[in-house]
This record gives sequence, structure tokens and C-alpha cells, in this order.
Amino acid sequence: MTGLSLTYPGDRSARAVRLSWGLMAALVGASLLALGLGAASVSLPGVVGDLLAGRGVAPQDQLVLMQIRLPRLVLGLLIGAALGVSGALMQGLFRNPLADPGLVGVGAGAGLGAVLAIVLGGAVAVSVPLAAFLGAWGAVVLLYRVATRGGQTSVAVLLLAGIALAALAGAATGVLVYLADDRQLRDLTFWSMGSLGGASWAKCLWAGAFILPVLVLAPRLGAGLNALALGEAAARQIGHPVERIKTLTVLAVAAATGAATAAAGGIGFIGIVVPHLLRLASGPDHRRLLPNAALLGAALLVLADTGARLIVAPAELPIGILTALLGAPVFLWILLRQARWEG
Amino acid sequence: MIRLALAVALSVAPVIAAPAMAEPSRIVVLGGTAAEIVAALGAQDRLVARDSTSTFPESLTALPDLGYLRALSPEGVLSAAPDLILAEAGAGPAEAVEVLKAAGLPYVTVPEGYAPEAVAAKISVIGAALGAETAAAALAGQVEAGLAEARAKAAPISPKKRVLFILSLQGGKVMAGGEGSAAEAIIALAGGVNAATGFQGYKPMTEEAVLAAAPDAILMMDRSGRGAVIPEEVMALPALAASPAVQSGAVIRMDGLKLLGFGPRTPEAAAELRAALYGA
Amino acid sequence: MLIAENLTVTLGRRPVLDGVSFTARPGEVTAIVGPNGSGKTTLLRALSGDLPFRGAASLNGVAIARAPVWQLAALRAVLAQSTPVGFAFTVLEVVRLGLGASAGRETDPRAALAQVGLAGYEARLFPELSGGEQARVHLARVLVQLGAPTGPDGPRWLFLDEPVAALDIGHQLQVMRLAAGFARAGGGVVAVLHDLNLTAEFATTTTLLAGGRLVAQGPTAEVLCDTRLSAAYRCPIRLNVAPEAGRWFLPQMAGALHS
Repeated sequence: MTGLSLTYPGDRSARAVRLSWGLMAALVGASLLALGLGAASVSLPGVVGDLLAGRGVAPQDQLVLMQIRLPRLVLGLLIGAALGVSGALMQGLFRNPLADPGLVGVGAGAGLGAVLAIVLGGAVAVSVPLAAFLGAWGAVVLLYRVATRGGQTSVAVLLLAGIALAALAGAATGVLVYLADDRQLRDLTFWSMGSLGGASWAKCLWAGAFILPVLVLAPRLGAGLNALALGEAAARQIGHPVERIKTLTVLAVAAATGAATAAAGGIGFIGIVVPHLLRLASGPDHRRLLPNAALLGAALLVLADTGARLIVAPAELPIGILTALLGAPVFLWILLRQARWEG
Repeated sequence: MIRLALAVALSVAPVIAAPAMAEPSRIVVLGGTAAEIVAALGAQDRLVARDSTSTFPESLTALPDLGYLRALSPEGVLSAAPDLILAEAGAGPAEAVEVLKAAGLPYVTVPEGYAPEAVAAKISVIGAALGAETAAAALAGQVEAGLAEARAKAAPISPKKRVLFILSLQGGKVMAGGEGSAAEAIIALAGGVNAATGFQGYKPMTEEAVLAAAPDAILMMDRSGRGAVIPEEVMALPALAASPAVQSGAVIRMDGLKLLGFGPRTPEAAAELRAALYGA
Repeated sequence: MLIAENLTVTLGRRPVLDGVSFTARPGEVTAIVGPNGSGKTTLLRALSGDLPFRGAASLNGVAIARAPVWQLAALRAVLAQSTPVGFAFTVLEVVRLGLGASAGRETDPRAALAQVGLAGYEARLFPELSGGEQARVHLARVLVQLGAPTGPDGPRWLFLDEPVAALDIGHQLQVMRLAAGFARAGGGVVAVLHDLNLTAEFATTTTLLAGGRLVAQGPTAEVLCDTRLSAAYRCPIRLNVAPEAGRWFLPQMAGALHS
């Protein structure tokens, strides 16, 4: 589809494409901001100027940029994109704008997996991201089984099952917390609030190994998820391989949420706020929504992380606190809007 | 005692300062006990930043706060432009420590330990890093002497009082210091016996276990503000109401860092606790 | 041709459809009628490939139970009784969903909307439409899925489950005339209907079900007789007899809509 194609009334794809360009620009801006700002005083234009002039960069500046800010930026982009896309995928799968991986217990499942690996790491030979992935996957599959009857997914059952699942994961986490020592306990507390503080190139590598394939695959699920908005039977009648779409969606959400949770802990509300804002701006067409959710999620998370690093510098805020602070009111607003719509 | 150690340290510090080559002058300290030792060695004016647990001496709080010891930001630490990082073994997260170690700055890990023997090791590591070996040796000797004195005074005490250390109350649930905890170590050093047994570290105790512990005294951290345990709350717990501790009003509160930090003030803490338990 | 032999569908342990044979020819509207719970919708869902069944069923010679979803989607389109849409798609976007997997069959969604009397509704948000308008949007989507009544691969089929349930009499006639026109142009139409008057007017062939079994299949005029209907619906029914009092009217006597 070219940008010049005629647009009919009711066709919002051109608007969504324009939005993509805007989001890309915002992403570049947010990235430059994240690279340029921080507790340490490193002048980004200065460094670039030095590089262009063929002068060396001070080792300290190089360390801050290459080993601290850049891996953190890359991790933030990966995780923000993963959270945005996971939210859009979940909402598409469940046909409901409130189905956020964090809200319906998928995050709790991933968290349980990660905590298991942290506390029992030695005994159970699975890495933290793999454990988080398995936890998220188990949660998504269980939720889908419980909430779907005869091809119809009950949102009430979904939310209740999510609450039950979160409680179950919370209880299991509680047992692990009891086993944990004083220090692990504090780690778990900070971990549950989410942070990109532990960013490293190694972390970017394994998180990227889970998240990048999802970002590539997700838009291909777009047409199928659009059809799923009519229900599973109708989607099948139109000719979409519904079971395959569902399985791939569940796997993608589990991989992206699992990796994001394992790498940065619990970061809430990106997954619910990002797709909602995008649907308001350019409609629910998942073929455009999914890539845009990746872009907006990445830009928002990088901005939030820059804020988290600057507000109490040289210390930093857990980013999950910041996203919850900004995201929870938006979530309430969505609920109110929806109540008015349905009422 | 501490004042004496300080005086010794101050008098020695300039002497050893001379031969040192490039003595660190911009030090970041991570960990309350390490900070205390740096100050006791008279190097407080060389500190440029600290973590949030470094609160003694009081004047340290004027330094920039790098956040909680286990949630450090490597860039925040580097922004203080240190030429030495003195960090307790508990500093984290691991990735942040890795980055700091890779930064090419001297990064000295202060060994951890909640036992009297560990104090001297901490002091000597910090002394070496500061180039203040002589002062450190003097301070370590001072602390060892104080610890020996505390042990000597604790040994003959009989019967020993059973002390329950309460870290926090969570909805009426007692989080107590069990076996192997710093609380147990300081209680023993003060001539008491830990009343909470059968578990490791800090764990919530069931009411029946608290009842069975029947402590002669209750020990708590003297914290102000949020999360502080209020003596009245403790005394009101049904499981403790009948205990000798509450009956006799033996609820002791002490500064947390001094009580559990196992640093230069530990002999002082032991003496204070012993006095609170047994008088004099 | 749509040929089904001895179809049996069980839900749980209860047979909902019990040994029903059914045929439908292209170029005709074939109605499925019967009382509530007689198995009409179940039969249509089995023929759509949505339900597992015992027996044999084929559409244009393609075995329905074994055909991949894309192959069936190219042969037939299904309009369910109601299809809620999960998000706030525009009318145009919903109709375009019909293009679905059968790409290359470029039907103009706007022409389909005009056919169902919804020209100019393209930019409206689907959830904000009335129930009748939503039903017609779905009909347009189904028409877009098929493209044309016939193709190189033979006739194409419209499966309609109570297509007029949500509509006023004017739109009922409009939709039924559209279906009849589709059949006249060579396509096949199978419709579950509740309205016996509309059945009588539009269906060439009618299948009468009761209690999951076939009561009769044949030319509509033969199937819709007093005795068969009375037995199937368990109430006395008399055809072509006007009541002595009160007002009554027939769709057969209504004129064309919005002419």
C-alpha cells in the first residue's frame, strides 16, 4: 500500500501510517533524550563532535554512553515495544480493550517463574528469562482455557480467573519470599516495582532473542486478529486459520511478556494504555495497531525511564512506580468511558 | 571509646597521608557500616557521595544520596566522579556492580559479616583502601579490645536473659531475628540469649511460637517515621502480653545501624544493650 | 450442489440433529424451517463446517468436513444470527473483513453497502449503529466475501441464519429480495427462516425440521401444508385463511422499498 493510495471515507489506514511516521520521530527524539540526559554530565553533541573530528572520546564518557546509557536505551526500547505489542495482542485475542497481560495474571505468572528462578536458581537449572517465559505461557494458556467456552471468551470469567491466578501466583511467591533471606527479600521488593537499572548488553541480547521475533511476527497476526473481532466462528468462516492465530498469539504474548518481566520486573499499564490511545487515534485495525503499539510503547518507556533516572538523581525511582502513577488514571478513564458506552 | 579511636585515627592520618602516591580523595561509600568506618578513620572529608543506608555520623546525610544499597544506578555512582568506590558486599544489583567494576576505577569490596570477628576485617580492608593502615590497625585494635571486654563481661552472667528481637510487625505478626542473624550475634555479645530459635534469618513467627518463646526482654530498632515499631503496639500483642518482658516493661529500643551494623560502634552497642538488660 | 446425507450432530450425549439428509441447488433459495430447537441452526452450522458431524456433506463436490478453512471460505459465506464486533471498527472496516483470506477477489465494499441500503455509512462506527443496521453491515461483509454469485469454480453459496430477525418489514423484504437476486444470478442460498410468509414467498425449496429430524423436504408449496406445519409446530395452522376480525397483512402485498 502506498502513501498515495486513495482514501475512502471510513478508511483510517492512511491516518495510521501517518501516525507511524510521527511515532518513529518521537522514538528518535526520546532515544536522543535518553542518551543525552543522566546523572553523569556527558555532552552528547560534544561526544559526537569529538568523534566527527577524529578525536578520541574520554574513557569515562565512553563508559557512560556505551556501557550504561546505550544498553539501557536498547533494553528500554525492547521492553517498551514488547509491553505495547503484548497488550495489543492480548486485547485482540480476548476482543476486549481491558485485557492487559499485567492485569489478567500473565505478569503474575511470569513474575512467579522469575522469582522461582531467583530464589531456587541453584536447585532448578533454568535461567530466569526461561522460567519467566514458562510462567507467562502457563498463565496465558490457563486463562484462555478457563475463559473460553464454545469459541466465546467471557470477559467476566477472564478477569475473575486473572484475579485468581494473580492470587495463586502471589501465594506461591509468598512461599518463596518466606524461603528467601533478608537480602533476597529486598531484591524481590525492588524487582516487583520494576527497573531498567540492571541493563547490560548481555541482558539486551537474551531479551532481544525473545522479543525481536515477536515484534517481527506480531503484525502478521494483524489480519487474523481483526477477523477474530467478529468471533472465532466468523473468523473461520472468512477463511482464517483461527487455532493457529490463537496459538501464535499466546506464544508471542508469553515470550514478550516473559522476557520483559524477567529483564525489568513488573512494569504495568504500558500494555493497556498504549493500544487504547492508538485505537482512539487511528482505529482498531491490528495490522497498523501492532507496529504502532511497539513504537509508542518503546517511546513511552524510554521517556519514563529517563524520568526515573533524573527525578531523584543520582539515585533513581523504580520505573514501575512511574508507569503506574501515569497509567492507572488513564486505565480508570478507559473504564469510565467503557461503562458509559455500554450503559 | 569511639572518641578515643577517632582521636587516634585523626592524629595518625596525616602522617601516613604523605608517602601514599595518589591517595583517593573522592570516595563513594556504599553501606552504612563501611561509611561509619571511613568516618572513624578520619576520612569523612574525602567522601563525595553515599548510599541511603549511610546515615552515621549524622553529618554524612549532607552528602548526595545514591539510593538504596541494593538498587544502585551505575551512572548515579559515576556522576559523583569518584576515584575510589568502597562498597559492602551486599551492594547491587549485580549488573550495576559489574558496570562499576568495568569502569576502571578502584572498586573495593568490604567483606560482610554479622559476627564480632568480622569487624576487624572490615576495618583493615577499608584502611588499606584509604591508605590509612596504621589508623586502621589502631581502630581495629580498639574495637577488638572492646569486643573482648564485652565477651568477658557477658560470660559470667547467669542466668542469661532471653531476648526477642522484633524487626517489624506486619498486621500483628512478629517478624523476628532467628538463628544466624545479626540480632542473635549482638544479643549474645551483650550477655543474652536469643529467644527466637528454630529458623534462620528474619522470619514471621506464629503467635504460638512467640508465646512459647516467653522472652525476658524485647529488642527493637529505634526508627522514627514510617514503619517504625511502636512499643505500645508490641506490648498489646496477646502472644506477648503474658511474657516476662511485657510484664516487667523490658522493651528496649536501639539505633538499628549501631545495633546490627557490626562496625566500630559494636562494643558500645553491646555495652548499651547489656546495661539495658542487666543494669549497670 | 450442496448434498448432505444422514447428518447426525450430538452435543453432549443428546443428538441435536438425527440422520438428516439435505440437498440444495444453486439458482434457488432453499429455506430451513421448523420450531425452536428443531435443529435448524445446527444443520446450518454443520453445513458451514463449524460443527463436527457424522454422515457425509459436500459443497460443489468438496467434502465439507475435510476442506481447509480457506477453501470453504472461497465457496460459501455465512451470516450468523448475530455477530458482535469486539472493537470500534468503522462500517467500511467491518465490510472489508469479508475480503479476509480470499485475497484477489476485489469487490468494492462500497457497492456492497449500497446493495444493503447503507450507502454513505462507510465512516460510521459499527457499535453506534442500530441492530438492524449492524445486521445489514454483516450482510454486506458476507457479499464482499463471495464477490459474485458464480465464479470459475462454480456457484458460490450464501448461508443465512435468520437473516431478517432484526429487521423491520421493509428491510426484511429488501434482504430477501437481495438473496433471491443472488440465487437468480446463479448462486446458491440456504436460509434458516422463522417467518413462514417470507418462506412461502421467496423459497423455491423448503426443508421442515422438528425435534432434530427431517419432516419434509421439497417444493415450498408442498412442504408448507396445514397438516405438516401443525404437526411440526404442535399447534393448529391453517394456510390461506383470513381471520374474521382484526388487522392483518402479508409481506407478499408490500411494495418495493425506497424505490
